[in-house]
Amino acid sequence: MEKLLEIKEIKKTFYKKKIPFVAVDNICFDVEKGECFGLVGESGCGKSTIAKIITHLITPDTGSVLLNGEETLFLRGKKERKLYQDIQMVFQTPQDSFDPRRTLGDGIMESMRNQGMKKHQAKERMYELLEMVELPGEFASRYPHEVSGGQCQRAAIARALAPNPQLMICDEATSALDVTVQAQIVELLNKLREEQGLSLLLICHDLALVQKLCDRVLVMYKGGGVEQGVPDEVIQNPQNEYTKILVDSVF
Amino acid sequence: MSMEEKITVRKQKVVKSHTRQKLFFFGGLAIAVLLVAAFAPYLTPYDPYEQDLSKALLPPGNGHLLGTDRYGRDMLSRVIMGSQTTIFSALLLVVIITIVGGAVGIFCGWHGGKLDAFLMRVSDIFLAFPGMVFAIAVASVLSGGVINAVVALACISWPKYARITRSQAMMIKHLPYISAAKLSGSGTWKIVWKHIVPNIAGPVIVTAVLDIGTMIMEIAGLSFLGLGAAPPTAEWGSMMSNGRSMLQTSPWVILSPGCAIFLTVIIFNLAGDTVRDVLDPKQRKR
Amino acid sequence: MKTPLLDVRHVEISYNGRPVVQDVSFQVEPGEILGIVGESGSGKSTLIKAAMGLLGIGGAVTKGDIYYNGRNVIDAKPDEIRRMRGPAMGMIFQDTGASLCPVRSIGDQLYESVNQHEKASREEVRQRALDLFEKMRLPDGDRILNSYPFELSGGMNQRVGILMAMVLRPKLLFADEPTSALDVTVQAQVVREMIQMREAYGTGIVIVTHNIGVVEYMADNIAVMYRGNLVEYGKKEDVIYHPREDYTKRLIGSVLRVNRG
Repeated sequence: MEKLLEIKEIKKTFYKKKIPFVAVDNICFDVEKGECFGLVGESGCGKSTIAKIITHLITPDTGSVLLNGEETLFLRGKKERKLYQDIQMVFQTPQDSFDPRRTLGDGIMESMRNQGMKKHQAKERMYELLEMVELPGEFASRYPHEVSGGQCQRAAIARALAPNPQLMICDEATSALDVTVQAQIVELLNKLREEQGLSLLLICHDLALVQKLCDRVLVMYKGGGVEQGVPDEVIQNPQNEYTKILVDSVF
Repeated sequence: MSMEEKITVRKQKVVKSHTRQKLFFFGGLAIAVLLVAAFAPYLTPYDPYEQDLSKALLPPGNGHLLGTDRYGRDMLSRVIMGSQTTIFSALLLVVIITIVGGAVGIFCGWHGGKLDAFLMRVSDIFLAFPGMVFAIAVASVLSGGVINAVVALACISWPKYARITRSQAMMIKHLPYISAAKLSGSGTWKIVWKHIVPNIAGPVIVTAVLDIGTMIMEIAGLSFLGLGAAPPTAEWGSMMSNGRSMLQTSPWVILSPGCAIFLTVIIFNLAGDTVRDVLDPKQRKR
Repeated sequence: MKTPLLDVRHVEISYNGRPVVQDVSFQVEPGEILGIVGESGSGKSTLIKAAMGLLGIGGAVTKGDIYYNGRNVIDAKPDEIRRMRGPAMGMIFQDTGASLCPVRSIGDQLYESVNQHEKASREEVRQRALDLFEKMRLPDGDRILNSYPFELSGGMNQRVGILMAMVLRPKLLFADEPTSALDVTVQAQVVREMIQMREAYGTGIVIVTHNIGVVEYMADNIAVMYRGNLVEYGKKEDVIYHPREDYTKRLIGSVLRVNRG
């Protein structure tokens, strides 16, 4: 399999009142084309920081992030914006990930308009995308607070799909949703993966979800990677002490 | 459980809010005041500047609804004419400080770093001065005139807006929708203009409307001290200043502009309150 | 017939004239754990707020009654209800850290809440708290009592919440999403501690959560709420393994489970 994304020896330290706190410590992993890779761990273990590093929302201290074999960390301006056509992200709280004063349709079209697409073309594509995430077209004119969490997350997925990305990062994309809705979103992600050949980087704390969706998983604890492998093996036969506790804690 | 088990039924009092009606009422009043100010020259029954010493200090009534001042000028006409000077300079002032303070605040909140720290210390200095004293100092250095009074008051009032917009911008820039906009390929300018400005406009507009009343008072205050509008110009503060020696003999000369200030300030404050009720995000979600 | 600890009868709760919970009835016996599950907005939290008299402005029980030990709590005077909150009915919030005063130490706030209801010296309250910490197998009781809410982790604050509720030895404990903000490893500990409280004091517990796994682990009975209605209510085994209603089937079917092989 071809490697789509390679994370090499990423390290990030935050300073709070000059006291250093290592959020991510020497993390390495790669995501293959069409693969679903999972990052699990507790809150504060650094998994979301990695998502922000990949999407250039945070700059790491050291390390490199390769997309299709090319370094992405130093891309700026136009090239950085080009990167966002290949990497997209879905956030944890769907309602907060849309501007409360603009419609869902506006949000979905933003990237296409930024690429210089004409308004009517963007609109057409937006309705296609809404159909892909199984939302009726009338949702384009709704505001984020007018729709439910699940519907909003579908719209967020549509927005992420708009530039035809190769990799979609889901940062706890289903944790804020009700279980029945979560099941539907998981279904949708699976469908997109099969139909669009999308690679997924799934960041979550739910081992069951990782086991259902992911091909490989990296367990993180306090900024470091403690165990990597196929989810079934990691869960059924954990090698690391922390992984054992994590698996035992799930009801 | 049997079918005939009695179920207690209780009545609930439902409290209705009248925000919309209040907005129409107070908003309407505020707009009416603005219209009076805008069309002041057409509404005055007499020429507000025409002196007629034979009619000096007439009490209210007899064709002069609010009486006349010591030069025989009709008080009603002067109050109407004065609204133009006072209200429009207050509006100009609010617009200036909103734009200047807002721009500084958004820049600081978004950019952060050393420039932010520097600009915030500058605003601290302005906030630390007793506002009116500083305004008096600036106005006397610049010498009188309405425009100079506006400049003086702008100098001391912008930091409040910078503070509000800065804290709002700092809060909003960490929200996921800003990250999402960045991931959609929008540049900094676009993000600030399309996503940050509209989302902090609410509290800024509320503050601005509430400030119109305060600014009317401050401009009138400077004029009262002789640092605002020059004498012949009809302006509420200077009119009050002119009448202050006659408070006991001809109280209408000072009461007319005084009441005009009082009513206008109350109308703008109540309008500001209702605007806040309408723009309050918690209420909007319902 | 023995009076149940909590008896909810045909309750309808309205906000500003609009009913959000309709015709809900269930009972809790002493020492029983009842799990109320449902999605967000299904009215599950509203129910326990009504029982505690905490519905707030605009909310009211418009039909039916709620009895605690045979006493009607809906028509009780506000003062009477206030005296019942704590010694009779305790409550654990989703985010205890936010429900505590940030500028006073845990021990201080604990003493105050006890002192509202019974005469006790600071030393006594402290000793009782330390005993409880021991029962919960938490080390460092002393250090926790001396710290401020912001110094403790979310999990630790949540345990303080349990402790503050339990120190008055209520017969009935309401828990509103007590573990939803916690990591799974901490969640497991908190759940075990709540079960220990039941074993030690025979406390009846009503736990409201969207986490079916937690309810499956700790509850005796389960009530399933959907859009303000009680769609299914019965023994845990029946509801989880043999659900009757379509919605319950869908809900249980949506739960992802870890396959441990």
